[in-house]
Amino acid sequence: MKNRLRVLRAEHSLSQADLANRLGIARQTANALETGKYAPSLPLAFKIAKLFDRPIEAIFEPESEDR
Amino acid sequence: MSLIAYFMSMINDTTDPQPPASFARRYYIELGSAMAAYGVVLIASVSLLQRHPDPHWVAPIAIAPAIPACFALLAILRHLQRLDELHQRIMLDACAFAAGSVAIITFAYGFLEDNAGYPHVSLIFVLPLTALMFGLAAALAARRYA
Repeated sequence: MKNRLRVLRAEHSLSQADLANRLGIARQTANALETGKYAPSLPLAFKIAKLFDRPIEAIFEPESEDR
Repeated sequence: MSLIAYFMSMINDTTDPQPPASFARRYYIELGSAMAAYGVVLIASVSLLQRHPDPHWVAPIAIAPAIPACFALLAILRHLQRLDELHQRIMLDACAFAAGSVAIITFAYGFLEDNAGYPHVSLIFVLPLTALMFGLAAALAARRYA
């Protein structure tokens, strides 16, 4: 799962620790999300979308559109 | 039954996920208290058994250390409930590996004991073996997301 978390975090001047605190997750989890090593659950994805005031699809994108 | 209900209420901690720093201390206090109680009860149990108590009391005294061990298990379960979703995933992977590997190791050793004359090993080693496998698997699973 590709994402724009790093860009959005920079735009909002947030450190990874700040992002983790706001989402109620560990900093390692924020890092794993940002690097695409972990795809968030739907509730966490909604939380991230709400934090950055963007729709989920503007933040997360599947690796391929294969169906 | 009320004891079971109490245990279940302790496990079903509905606290919302919090930043790890805020609940790690609580976990260490809960687990540390349970382990300290375990140490005290274990020493008391062993020393009482060495004094050859009434046969009716041998089993209750021998099993007594398992009670604080249950509280240690509850502390771990409560901690798991408070972890974020990635760390719950890592713990779930580690639990699955630990349960599966210990099942296979004990099953295989059972064959060796029954059919190849290997010495009998006490069931008491199942818990440390499970903890070892869990620790190894958790470390490996965490590396995948580092």
